[in-house]
Amino acid sequence: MKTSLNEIKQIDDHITGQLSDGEKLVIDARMIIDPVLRFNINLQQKLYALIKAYSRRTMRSEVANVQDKLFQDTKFRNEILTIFSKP
Amino acid sequence: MMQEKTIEIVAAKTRAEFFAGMYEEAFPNVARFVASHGGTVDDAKDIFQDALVIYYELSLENKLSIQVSDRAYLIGIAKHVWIRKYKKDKVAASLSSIESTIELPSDYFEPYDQSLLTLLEQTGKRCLDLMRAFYYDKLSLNQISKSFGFSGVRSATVQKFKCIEKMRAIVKENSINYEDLA
Repeated sequence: MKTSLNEIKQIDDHITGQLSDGEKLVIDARMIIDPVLRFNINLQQKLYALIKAYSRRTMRSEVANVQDKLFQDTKFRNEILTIFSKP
Repeated sequence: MMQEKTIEIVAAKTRAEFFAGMYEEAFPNVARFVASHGGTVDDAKDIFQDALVIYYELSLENKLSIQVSDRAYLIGIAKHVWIRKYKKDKVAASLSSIESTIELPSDYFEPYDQSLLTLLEQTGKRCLDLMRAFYYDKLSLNQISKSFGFSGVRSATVQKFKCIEKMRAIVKENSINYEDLA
């Protein structure tokens, strides 16, 4: 892998908690003295948060599709609507 | 028991079947809960969608208690979502002792940069789907290789890091406030 990909992998291991205690100490120390590394770690963390948001959004769409299909079923839809029509 | 459930629901087709089953089993109960607290059918639908997403996440992290049925757990999660989203009082929700122990993912309701995510989708949806498979669905490298058509595990790994490199560059170029990242 290219050097930049190796750095990305190392940051990935750091963010996902896959580094050994020794490796973690080394990267924590490097973060203090290396602003570029610190910046790249924060950048990658920001990306991972966006990936999570994307995953949740697509998963919610999957759920919504299932819901829409179920509500096309008259029996199911009426059962639910009756609950909300009670005084 | 929970491990088996996890394996069952990571495949999209079985997941849809699982969700449909959970709607039939638990949605009427959640709807009654929402109706009795002054909510609408749309509120109930909204809450249940989030509850199923959270249920999926907790099941993948093995955070579901094996002492509680799927249905009871999902209803408990839905009540917590209702409290959180509609800023309701926990006491009014009358949570059972087991329901009180449920914790929603701490970052679930956190806002995110929607325009940046849209940009990532426009420039590389396949990369985002690959990332979802790795980090969210927690699929194995073998499963990912097969479903994305890679020649093998190594190819899938390299592609993953190339995707991160590409998307990281986009996030960098479009971050308004660099101070947040320093």
